[in-house]
Amino acid sequence: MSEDRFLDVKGLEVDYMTLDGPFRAVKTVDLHINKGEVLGLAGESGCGKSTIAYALMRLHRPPAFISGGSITVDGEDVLAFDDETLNQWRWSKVSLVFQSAMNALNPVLTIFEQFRDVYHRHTGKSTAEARARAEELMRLVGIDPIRLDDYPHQLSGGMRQRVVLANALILEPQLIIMDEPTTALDVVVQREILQEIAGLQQKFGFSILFITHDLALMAQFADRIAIMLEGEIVEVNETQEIVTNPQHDYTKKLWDAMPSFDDAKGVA
Amino acid sequence: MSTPAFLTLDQVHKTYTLKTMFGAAKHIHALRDISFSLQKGEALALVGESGSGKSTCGRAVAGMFQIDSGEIRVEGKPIATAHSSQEKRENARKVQMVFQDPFASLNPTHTVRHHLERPLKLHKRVPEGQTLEDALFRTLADVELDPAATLDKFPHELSGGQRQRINLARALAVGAELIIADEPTSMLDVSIRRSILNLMKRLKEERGITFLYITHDLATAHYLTENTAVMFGGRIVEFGPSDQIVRAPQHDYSKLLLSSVPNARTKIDADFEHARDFSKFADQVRQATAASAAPLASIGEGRMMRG
Ligand SMILES: Nc1ncnc2c1ncn2[C@@H]1O[C@H](COP(=O)(O)OP(=O)(O)OP(=O)(O)O)[C@@H](O)[C@H]1O
Ligand SMILES: Nc1ncnc2c1ncn2[C@@H]1O[C@H](COP(=O)(O)OP(=O)(O)OP(=O)(O)O)[C@@H](O)[C@H]1O
Ligand SMILES: [Mg+2]
Ligand SMILES: [Mg+2]
Repeated sequence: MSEDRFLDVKGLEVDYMTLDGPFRAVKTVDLHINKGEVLGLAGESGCGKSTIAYALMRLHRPPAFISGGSITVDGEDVLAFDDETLNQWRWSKVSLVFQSAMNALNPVLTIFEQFRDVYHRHTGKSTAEARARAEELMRLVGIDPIRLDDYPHQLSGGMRQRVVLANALILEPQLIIMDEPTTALDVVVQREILQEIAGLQQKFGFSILFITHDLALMAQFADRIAIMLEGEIVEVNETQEIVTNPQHDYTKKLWDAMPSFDDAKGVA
Repeated sequence: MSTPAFLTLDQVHKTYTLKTMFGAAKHIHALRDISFSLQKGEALALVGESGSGKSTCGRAVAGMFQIDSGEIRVEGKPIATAHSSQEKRENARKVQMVFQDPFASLNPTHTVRHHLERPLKLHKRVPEGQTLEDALFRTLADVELDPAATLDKFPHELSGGQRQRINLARALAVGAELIIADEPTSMLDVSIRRSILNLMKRLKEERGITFLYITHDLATAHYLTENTAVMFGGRIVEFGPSDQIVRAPQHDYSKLLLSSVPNARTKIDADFEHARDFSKFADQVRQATAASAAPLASIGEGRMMRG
């Protein structure tokens, strides 16, 4: 069924060059995402999730190096792209919502200015058109468009997070990588945004790589879930199976570690 | 009451004024009529809408800016009138903040030793008869880190959970009595999250540290704190014992919030109509909540709500 694989990663290896020699953060990882599918990626802090996200978009920077494997997106060999192809491809075909996105915005530009820069560079359209698109997307993520003229520090953490999410949607990419996209949001807005993304996703059929620590949230949203431990994928399965029938000890441990409303030990 | 609460906020207000590109200036009521008190060794959770003023409230308590009106008292003394540098230093010592991003608050060019040594020396926190090295070891042991293995590491050599322990250790090294923890675990994975929560709980129970815990994760609020304040639009809309708030919220916004907590067993609804319906409903609740200026009134033992 490899023909509907939008993303196909084989044997991916990513190293960080350190003073003690190379450190392999991603070890021979295979994963794929079909057209229109949501794949969840969960695992311990430091296991290599963000490293994968960056490598997929070739946004990794030294001391990180891709030392092996292949990345195919929509039939194209991403590792073979030259810089110009890469610049056009990035954000229009595949976009990334950064982890700690709240801090990823440029502090000296207004929200609209950053938005316009990307839109203009890729589409060459006018400022008025950029404004209209920006307002549309701000409404989509539930922010009053009047705040387009604010600087990032004037917005709350959650608002900045939503702005970054809106930025990732500008050019209607076919794969969106979301690295902890809703961690800073209240659960009402989180639910609204995820429903909205789920709706958009059904409508436009894009694929999503969804990275989060929140297993419950991931289970609500992903079609399949991959569990990662120390640079390796240790279990990947349909969401239903990961929830009701986890196989790997680590997956079980992740479920057990979640505080629920039923445990309030110690607080009287 | 004979002994004053450790922390008291009395009708605290803060408004930000934004100049917009088109038209009139816009006022943002970040804090409106915020009043609560917190006993020593207790924890209070601030939960609520993003942008509702939780972090602003935390920063106000930490004395990071001037509030417009109202009063914040630490052990009965208003922080705004601390004039002598001695008093200011005392306040700065007692009240410490720990932030969401455990990396951003550590200096990448300094070792753990450097991060802890300075506050220990500056605030004269090395007990008589002990060496600085003893104090460093004790501080790291308090946050359950292996002192010998950790002291000479740089922040990038530590995991997120370890970094957050260092931030807590630094607060302890200063001699914090109130720790304002602003989403301290939201960037950590669940297994580490649990251990950081347990650590905070131990510091609270065994050391009598008071916590103002800001979070979006209602299950952890319930786990750590005695009381929870639900915030919306700069106001507290509901206040009460945390288990009652999560089990039987009374205010419409609190109900909406609790009903939105993700549940692994229900799939997200991808139907556009339903998404719009939910958003419309959420908007109605938010608009009604925003429009109401009713005061916080008692709705039973230890519980309050805005009508
Ligand atoms: N610049 C760097 N130099 C050396 N090692 C690094 C560098 N950046 C990351 N690493 C290491 O690579 C590993 C994977 O890091 P990565 O950020 O991908 O983890 P993650 O799974 O995204 O974690 P988190 O859940 O905390 O975001 C970690 O062990 C980390 O310490
Ligand atoms: N320096 C500032 N200038 C202008 N507006 C500000 C400033 N700081 C905060 N605000 C505004 O005050 C309101 C409250 O912000 P605050 O950061 O306290 O929210 P929060 O409840 O912590 O939100 P989140 O959950 O998203 O972190 C927001 O509307 C924010 O945009
Ligand atoms: Mg990461
Ligand atoms: Mg905040």
